[in-house]
Amino acid sequence: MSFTGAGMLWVGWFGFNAGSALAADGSAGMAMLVTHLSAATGAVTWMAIEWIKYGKPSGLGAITGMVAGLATITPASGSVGPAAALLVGLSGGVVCYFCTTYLKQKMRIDDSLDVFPVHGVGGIVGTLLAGVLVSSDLGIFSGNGLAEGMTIGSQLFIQAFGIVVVALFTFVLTFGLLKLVSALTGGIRVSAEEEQIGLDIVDHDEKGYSM
Amino acid sequence: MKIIKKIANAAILSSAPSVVFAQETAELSGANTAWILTSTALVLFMTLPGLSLFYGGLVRTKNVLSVLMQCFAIAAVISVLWLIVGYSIAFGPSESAYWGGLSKALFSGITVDSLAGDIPESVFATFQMTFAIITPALMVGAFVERIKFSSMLLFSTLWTLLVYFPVANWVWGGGWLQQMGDRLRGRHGRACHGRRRRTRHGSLSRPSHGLSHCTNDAAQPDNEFHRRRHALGGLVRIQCR
Repeated sequence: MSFTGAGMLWVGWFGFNAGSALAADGSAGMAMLVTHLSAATGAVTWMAIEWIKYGKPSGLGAITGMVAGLATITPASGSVGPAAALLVGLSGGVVCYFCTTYLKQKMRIDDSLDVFPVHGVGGIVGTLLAGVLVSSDLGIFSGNGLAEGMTIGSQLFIQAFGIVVVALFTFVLTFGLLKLVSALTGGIRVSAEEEQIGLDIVDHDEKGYSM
Repeated sequence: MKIIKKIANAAILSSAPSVVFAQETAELSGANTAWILTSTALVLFMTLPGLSLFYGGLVRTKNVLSVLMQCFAIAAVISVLWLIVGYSIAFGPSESAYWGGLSKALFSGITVDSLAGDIPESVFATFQMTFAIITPALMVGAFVERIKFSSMLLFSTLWTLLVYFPVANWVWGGGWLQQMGDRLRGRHGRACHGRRRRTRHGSLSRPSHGLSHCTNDAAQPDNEFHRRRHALGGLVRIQCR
């Protein structure tokens, strides 16, 4: 089931990134190509890490790596070239892998399906990488070229500034909203007992599977 | 005399955008429209059923249905919210750098002939809607198996309204973050790019799409396109413990 969904995400992501060119042109084509390459690299990377660490690559690891590759290339998909996509997917796979482990085990953050370490961290890594790999002076790893008057440094600054501003705004508002919603609905979390029963019955009085 | 000059200037400034807009949106591109229609379907497909199945398969069997339901309900609610105020807040024509105003609420003024760049505005609005849908749906993964359905729905609605729509405006709808990127690049020209849908990006190396948030404009890495969606969608989950 997750593989089916992951496959759909991979394909759908072509529309996400290549559609964002808002035109059927070279930018769209290149965005689609780098999106695909990064997804593939992310999956391979994640599998490789698990293989080395645990002796076996897991299915969950393969699809999580794919999503990490996709999330990381997304902010960079309009700027980088195919060879750079390999680096993006690789960085996404490695960084997201270790963040997943770290956030879950060390910081003990409850994130059921590792959404933040994969999408959040992947998005941040990709945004920063876009500022570097857009440069046209990187040989085979060159991108579309920086805008006039920009250096890799100044571009990185804009990238980082954007990340910080949006992160702060989102954090503050999200925190406030969660408190508000919690007050309005009498706590956002179901009781331990209800968690045991499962949300299918508790929330919808239906069952996905009768086993 | 000075006053007259000021008024004249103001008149020029306020009329400039529509002039530019008219020039830019003169012609519809069938090829581009076809591709964005396709992409719209693909991005909605990511949520329904892509993300739903992806998450659904990762939870225990007793929670599968609830996950599908959460993604599905979000898609429905956010679509309606997008129609009512979302599109207007994110991409409306207000002069504010922080939101798009309410003048396009309920898709006011959008007809079969309205263009956004060289594609129909209806197509553009629908394409953007699919992004607004998948962002809160993405968050679902952080709290599946734990959250009340009512809390989830209320939170997703308020979050999209108060966080996603404004930030979409800042970053892609001609808001302050986008303007800052342009300023740092030394392309000021306030009068002609005061607000969205101008030639702001057009001054770059390729013809503008006419819209201010095309991620694939050459040399526009800070266009912060989806990074937001991911960074954003992601950051929020850290909260959902």
